[in-house]
Formats: sequence, C-alpha cells, structure tokens
Amino acid sequence: MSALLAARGIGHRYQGVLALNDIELDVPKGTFMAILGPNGAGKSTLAQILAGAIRPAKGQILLEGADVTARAGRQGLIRNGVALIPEGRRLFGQLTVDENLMLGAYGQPRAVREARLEKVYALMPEAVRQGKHRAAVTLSGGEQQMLVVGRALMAEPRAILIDEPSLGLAPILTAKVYDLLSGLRRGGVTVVVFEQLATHALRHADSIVVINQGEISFRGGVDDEATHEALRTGYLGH
Amino acid sequence: MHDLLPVIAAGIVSGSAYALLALGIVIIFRSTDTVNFAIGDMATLGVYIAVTAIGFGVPVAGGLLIAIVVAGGTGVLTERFLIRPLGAGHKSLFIALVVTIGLGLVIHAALGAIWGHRPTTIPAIIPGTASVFGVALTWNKIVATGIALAAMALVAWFFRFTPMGVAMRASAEDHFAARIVGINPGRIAAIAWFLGCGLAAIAAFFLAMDTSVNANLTLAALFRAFAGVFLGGLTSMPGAAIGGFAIGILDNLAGRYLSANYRDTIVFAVIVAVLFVRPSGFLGAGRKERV
Amino acid sequence: MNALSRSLLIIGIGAAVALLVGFAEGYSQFVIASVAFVSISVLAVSTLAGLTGIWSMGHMAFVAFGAYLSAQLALRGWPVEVAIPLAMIGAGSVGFLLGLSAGRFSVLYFGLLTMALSLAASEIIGHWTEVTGGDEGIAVTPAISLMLGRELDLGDAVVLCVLLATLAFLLTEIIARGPIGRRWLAIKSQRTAATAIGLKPQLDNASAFGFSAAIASLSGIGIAFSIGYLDPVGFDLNMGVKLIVATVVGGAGSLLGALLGAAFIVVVPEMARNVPAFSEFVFGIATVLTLLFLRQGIVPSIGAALKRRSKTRKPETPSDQALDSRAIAQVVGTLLPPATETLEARDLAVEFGGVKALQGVGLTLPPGRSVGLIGPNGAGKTTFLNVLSGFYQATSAEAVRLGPVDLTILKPSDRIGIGFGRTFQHAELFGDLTLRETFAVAALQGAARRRAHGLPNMTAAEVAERIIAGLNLGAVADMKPGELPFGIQKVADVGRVLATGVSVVALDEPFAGLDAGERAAIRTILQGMRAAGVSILIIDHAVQEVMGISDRVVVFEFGRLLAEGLPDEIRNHPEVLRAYFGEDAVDARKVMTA
Repeated sequence: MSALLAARGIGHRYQGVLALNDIELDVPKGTFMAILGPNGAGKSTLAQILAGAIRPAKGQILLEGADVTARAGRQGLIRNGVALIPEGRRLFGQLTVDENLMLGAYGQPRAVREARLEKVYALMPEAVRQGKHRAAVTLSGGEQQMLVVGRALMAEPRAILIDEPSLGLAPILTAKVYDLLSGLRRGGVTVVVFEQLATHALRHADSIVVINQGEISFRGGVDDEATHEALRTGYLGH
Repeated sequence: MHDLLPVIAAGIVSGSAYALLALGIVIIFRSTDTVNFAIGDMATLGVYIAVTAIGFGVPVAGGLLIAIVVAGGTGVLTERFLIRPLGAGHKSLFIALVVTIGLGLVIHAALGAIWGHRPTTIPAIIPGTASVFGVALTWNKIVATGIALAAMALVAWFFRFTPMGVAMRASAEDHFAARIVGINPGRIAAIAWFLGCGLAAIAAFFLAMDTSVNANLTLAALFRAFAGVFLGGLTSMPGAAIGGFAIGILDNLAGRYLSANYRDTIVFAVIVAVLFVRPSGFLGAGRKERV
Repeated sequence: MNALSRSLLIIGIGAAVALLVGFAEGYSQFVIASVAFVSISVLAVSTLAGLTGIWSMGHMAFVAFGAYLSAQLALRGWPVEVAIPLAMIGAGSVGFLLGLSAGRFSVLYFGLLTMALSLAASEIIGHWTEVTGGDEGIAVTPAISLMLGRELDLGDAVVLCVLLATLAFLLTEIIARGPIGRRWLAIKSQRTAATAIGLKPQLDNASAFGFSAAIASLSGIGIAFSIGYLDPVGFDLNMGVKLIVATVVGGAGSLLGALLGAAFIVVVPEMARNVPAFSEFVFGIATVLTLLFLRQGIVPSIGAALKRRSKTRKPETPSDQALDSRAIAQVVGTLLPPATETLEARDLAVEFGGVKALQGVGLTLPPGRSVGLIGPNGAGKTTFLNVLSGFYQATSAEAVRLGPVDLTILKPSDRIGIGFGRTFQHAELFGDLTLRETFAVAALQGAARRRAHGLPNMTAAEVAERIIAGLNLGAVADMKPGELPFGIQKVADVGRVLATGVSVVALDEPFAGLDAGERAAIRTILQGMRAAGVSILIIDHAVQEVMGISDRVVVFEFGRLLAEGLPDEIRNHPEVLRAYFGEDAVDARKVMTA
C-alpha cells in the first residue's frame, strides 16, 4: 500500500508558539486513519498543512510521492483531490444548502456540478434534501456536519481530511457522520479524521496516530493494548 | 403635500448616483475589508478618458463603456499593487483606507494637471425633457436612472445566480472556507474592485452628463453615498443601494420642505445620528471585522 | 535620554526658535508660524493615533474651535492668556464626550465618524455667520497679552505660535510618555487584558481624545493671531486629510515625526505655489509610498533601523535551572498579601442565545490552595473563566464570590481591587510596551491593594524591578513582547498579574504552546506562587501538568460538572475516562487496565 499523502519533517509555529515539531507521517491510500490527541496538540495545524491550506514553516508535503509543498497556502490541494473539512465546519451560513454544495465543485462545468449534486444529495439526510433553498445556518448541528461532508464530496476527492467531526454533536449524530465516512472509505476514498474524542475513531479507523504537544507520540492498530496505553498517557498523564 | 410625489421622483433620480457609489463601496469592502476613498477619483478618471474618446468621435454609449473599463481597471491595479501588499489583519484596515486617500489625492492632482481645470461637457444621449409625476426631468436623467437601475439589477443577478457571484458572497462570509473549497481570493478581489469602481464610473458618467466634467465631479455625491452606506451598513449590498436612494429622497425632501441652505447639514446630521444609534447600519451584519 | 532631559530639550528648542523669530524676515516668520501651528494639530492627531489607535480626520473641528473662540474673546478684549485655557477646556470637554463613544465603534468606523465630525464642523462654520463670518470669513482683532501688557503685533503672534507649539509638545511629552500614555498604549494593543488588570478602556479612550482635542485647539489660537484672518476653507476636510498625511509620513506617535510631518505639509505647497495640484500630488505619493515601504512612518522607521544595528542576539527562553521557586516565593510575598478568602462558584449557568454553555457547574478554591480545571473541548472551561473575570455574565448562579464579595456585580476592571486576577492563553501582552513598562502599568493598579494590606511601600518602578529579578527577566526587561519567544511572554503574563497585587490567580492554559523546558519554568513559578500563599486556578488541556500541580481537580464535560477529586482519583475516574475515550465501557476498561 503506497502513501497517498505524506509529511516529511513538518514543523510549524504560530507567532512563536510551537504547534508542530518534526512530524513524519504516511497516510496509506484507501485507508481510514485517526489522528488523536488532546486539544492544543497540533491536530488542526497538521490537518491544514496536510491539505495544503497553510504552508509549513519546515518540511515537505508529498502527494503520491511528489513534493506539493510549494502549492500550499492558497487554495490548498483541493484541485489535486485532497479535501479539508476544517474545525468548526465553516459552512457558508448565509448561503443556501444548494449554494454551499455547488461551491464544493467550484470551477467545474455546470453539467458536472449538477450531476454531482444529485449524487451527493442521495447521501444527505432527509432534512438537508428537503431544505435545498434554506440558509445553511438554519440546519441543525448534525445536518450541518453532514452538509459540510457533502460540500467536500462535491469535489470528488481522493482523500478527505476532517477536523473534529464530533465537536458539539451528540454521540448519535457523530455516529451517523462516522458511518458516512466509513462508507466513503469502502468506496475507495482515503479518510483521515483528527479527533480529540477517541470513541468513534477507535471504532471506525484502520490505524491510529497519537499526537501530543506537537509531536507524534504513538502509531499503531486499533485494538492493540499499546494503543490504549498510549492514549491514556497522552490524555491523562502517567 | 401635493408635490410630495415629484420630490420623491427627483430624490430617486439623484439617489441613483448615490446608490451606485454606495454599492461600489460596499462590494469592495466586503471582498477586501477596504473602504476605498479613491473610488470617486477613479470613476472621474474613467469619465475624463471617456470624454477624450468621445471627442475623437466615439459614441456616447461607447464612452460610458470606456469609463467603466478604465475605472474598473484602475481598481484592479490598485487592489493588486497597493492594497494586497499591506496584508490582512485589523491593524491594516485603517492603513488601507489611508492608502486610498493618498491615491485619491494623486489621481485628483493628475486630472487637474493633464486636463486642466476648464470644465467640459458630455452631449446628452437623448435631448429634451419629459414630465414624470408632474415634474420636468431631462431625458438624460431618466435614461441615467434607468441605466443605474439596470446596472443594479444586473449586479443583483450576478451575485444571486452566477457561480462567481455565489463564490464572492461565500468569500465575504468566510475567507478561509472559501479558499479551501478552491476559490481564488486574488480573483475575487480583482472582480470586486472592477465591479465597485465600474459602478462608480456609471454614477460619475451621468453626474458629468448632468453638469460638466470636472475633477470634483463626484465629491458631493460621494459624501451622500457614504451617508447611504452608513444607513444600510458597510456589509450589506441591498442596504447600500436602499441607503443611497433614501439619502437622495431625504436630500430632496429637506431641500423642498425645510431649507435649501441646510440640505447638507441635514444629511450629515442623519449620518451622525445613525452611527450613534446603530453603528452597523440598519441592514448591516453587526460590527464584523476579521481578525 | 530620560524624561526630564527630553522635556528640557523641547523647552530649549522652543526658546531658541522663539528668539530666532526676532531676526527673521516677514516671509520666514510666516513659515515659522505656519510650521509651529500646523505641528500642534499634527501632534494632536499623531499622538492620538500612536497611543490609542484612533485615527481622526475630524481634528480640524477642534482647531477651528480654538481659532474662532480666541477670535471672539479678542474681540471682547479678553487677554490671550485667558483664551488659551478656555479653548483647551472647551475643546477637551467636547473631545472627551466624543471619545466616550469611541469604544462602541471599530477603529474604521470611528475614523469615518470623525470624517462626519469634520463635515459637520464645516456646516456649522458656514451657517453660524455672526461668529464665523460664514463663507467670507472674519478678520481677527489683535489680542491683548497680560504678560506683555499690550496688543500682540505680528512678531509677537509668531512667537506666540512657537510658544504654543512648545507647550503642546511639552504637555504631550509629559502625558504621553508617562504612566497615562503607557495606559493608553496598553489598552490600544490588548483591550481585554488591559481591562483585566484594572484599566478602563472607555474612560481612557475618552481622556485621550479629550487631551488630543485640547492640544488641537492651541493650533487654532496660533492660526487666529498669526494669520489674522479666519477663512473657513482652512478648517475643512482637506486640511484634516493633510494632518493624516503628515501623521503617516512623520510616523504616528512620534514627536519629532509630528514636527517633520508638519514641515512637510507646510513647505511643499510653499515651494510649489505656481504649480497647481503639485503639492496634492506629492502628498498622495508620499502617503502611499510611506505606507507601502515604511509602515511606521519615517522617524520611527529610522529609529527602528538604528536600534536593529545595535541589537544583541535573540534572547533564550528561560530554563527552570535559572528559576528558583523559593526565591520566587520570597519576591511574591513582598508584592501581594497571601490569600485569605475562598473563591467559590455554585450552580452557575450560562446561556448564549438559548444554547446552554454551562449548567449547574461550580468549584471551590480555598485560600492558598490550587485547583485544576480540565475537560474535553467544548466543556465550557473558558466560558467559566470568563464569568469569573467578568467578561461574560452568568445567566444564573447561586453564588460566584470571593470571600464575602459577590463577583457577579463587579465590573471586569474592578476585580483586581478585591484580589482576583487572571492570565491569558496567548499571553496577550501589551505589544507597544516593554516588559518593564508593562509591569509598571500593572503595579500602579495594584498599589492601593498593597497599601491596604500593609505591604512595604514601593514605587511602580520598584515593583517592576522585583518581578524582573524574581522571574529572571533581566536580559529582556527592556524589550517588547513581539521580540520575545512565546515562553518568555507567558512568564511575563504571570509577572503582570503578580504586579497587580492579587492573591487569587486564574491561569488560562499556562502550559499551552510551550516546549518541555518552558513548561518546567512555568511549573517552578507556580510552585513559588503557591509557597507565597497565592490561590491558583489552572485551566489547561495539558492534563498531566495540571495533575502535577493541583491539590484537587475539577472536570467539566459539555458544560456540566463531571467529576471532582484528588488528582489520582480523577486519573482513574470511570466517568472521566469515558469523557475522553468514549461511552464504550469496554474501551474504558481496556484503557484502565492497560
């Protein structure tokens, strides 16, 4: 299994604040990877760097082995098939559901966008389908999270990076989002979740990476005893 | 009160210029957080070049097009080379405004130096007058108002229905999210500045047709446009258009029923009152400034 | 150069120029007077922009106020010595009232509002013909001077301009470079943090605007008597824009910059009298180029370049070896009284637009103890801290009190007075102040409390010096936060709250974003504070650090209280494990037995 996305020696600071230090990471093609860690560990920064949304201070991002670091900082890697769903969802609240989804395929010909729109609506919950012309802000939290996944799918990405999908959602809604992500993974999409809450991620992911204080402290399988020990140390100390 | 209707009609006619300028100011602010104080001077520059072209035999309608393209192009260049290098962040908000003040001074000075201070005129598109609600209006003004309304309708259509227009609304709401769905912020900024300055050029062109072409063509109208922007809020496009018309009507009402001498005073009193009562305007989205 | 010698220098320059006037010809006198009175109004705009971040296009209104008032007073035979304080008081009061509203607006909006002020002033001047002569303007009667015992002649008026400018620069030097100016700078860069150490942004903005307006009115007095004729065009928005140009080119907040900027906008038009629009063109170009290439303006940019050349290496982050918790405890003990009251919050609820951010939470922090507050993202920890520090209102609460004092009725800026202070996740240091100045600003706010508790009497500078020594910040004390690594900024944030003399300190994520060495330094400082009897509330995601330093730990989840107990109890608390690792009991057990 070759790596779709890889980080090589990634380091980053925000105004002097250490965010990431020497991150080495391979995301294998077609897998479901969970990057776990407490808040402030550097997960969001890593998500944005891997998706090319911000340029790392140090290191390289490889997409199928090719160095794409130079492309980072503007529109990211969305045109290369890497979609980012940022923390807090960042839907366009004042725009309609339809407009939000259409923007996911921004730059594609109208026919392509409309064809994709139909496919994506099929994956959306009833309330989203019924509310095509409602402002996105009027949807519930769970519907908004589904919609933002839909917006990413409109780009027909090879990889989806999703930051804290469980944030602010009741467990039952989080489960629905994860079911959708697992379905995508079965369809061949590479999925990477960046999570603070380990529950759902442990249930759906193929592999786990624990990140703490800007560094990777553990990598392993889901059911390993070592994974649980690593999580416990990472979150609650010794 | 039998002459209320004509006063309102006159208000809508003069308000259309304010509304266009106000809309231009708001479109530019929404895209790049910059209050463009040079918008009037850029529009006037467009009109001067248009007048020169008309002097060489270009038809008046072609002149209008030239004015739009020149002002819009100046806007695009300004954003690219003067505003973008300042960077983002709330500290540069006022700096960007001061840069446009400086640019306005430069353009204003250049207009005087190149074309001199002798006013010239633009021939009317359709000469003569017509009677609207019992008030005599030149055909010029009627056509100007019609074109202004059409331009605003076109802008509304553009933002509502075209992918680029939707992308611009998305970008105004959330720069970062717009970027990661693949919207190019540089292109959004360029289009916004072109549109904003182009709309201002339409206003300036008709103001010039009404009076004469001079370097202070848009000065009085621009202050009223700002009053309209305050009424509607810096972030609302419909608010700006409605605010511009409202100021036009208010201006005419004040002139007719209170005192022609105190027209300006009343308009400025309205600005100050609105700012104190409701700093975000009546349709604005709160004190939104990105950090 | 210290404050006194700078003041003497201003007086010396003023006196020298005043003497020079006697030797100058008519035209040179005119130029000297113009630069003098323009420099006053530029100084007013520049000081306001530099120290508070408020850019005013409307200051010509205050200049006009001074000019027309002194003209009217002269007409009635009042001496110029009376006109000066009257103009300052009048303009200052109007400015103060306008400034009170500044806090309601963003910088941008307030700038636009001052434009409206300028337009409104022009309208009034245009219509109030009895006083202003309307568009025609009025001639000014020469004023009587009590000191000279006669009417001012033209030469006297030029000297008057120079003296007024000297007065303006001297007042600005004293106010702006002193404790008041430092308060303004603190508020300019960090409104919230400034409020938390007891400053009152709205009041300070108003006083800054009032001060600046009072200074501007002096310019009007100079114009009235040296020009002898008041033309409304001289007070319009164009002139207000020129003041902005001069401020930008010279450098906002710089005294020398104000003088240079004034000379620039006076001399350029004089040099190009026969070329219409030339000066406008030059002003425009100068403004744009300065902002693009010398953002700070000419004088501060040169100053910064000189400073860079003599600059030492970038400072190192403090390591824990250099810090000694016992020594810190000793220093802290002289700066603040040990805690005697319990901080308590019971059954607290906060709603934002119907969304429950906190419900039924609470905690107890006995005097001199330390409590850790942890919880997953969205638990409401920051909201809780913001209620304690007064930035949010509790929707309902059975009690939020420090000893006998109900915290819910206190303003955010009044909390340090009863002994409650806080730090910030991003340090939020005052960007325009050095660490020493920052501690001094905070120390002034803490003076009353230290006095009330019978601690040794110290000046603000002495307090700052002790904190610098205790926290080992000597090498960086005269640097601004922007030049310092984040680890030092976090240490300085703690130093700032210690300077306010509070005995209960809430720390917002003191360990976030720090590397191992920096975390150790913070740990040592916290141990020192504990030993000195400070009550500590630590809110952090770095759970292991919190566990290590807290007597008890409180856990929030989804805005509710999840658990409370000793650190070891919390580490193995099933509910806490569930909160972090999921509702799956199997998973939790696996984690626990691992």
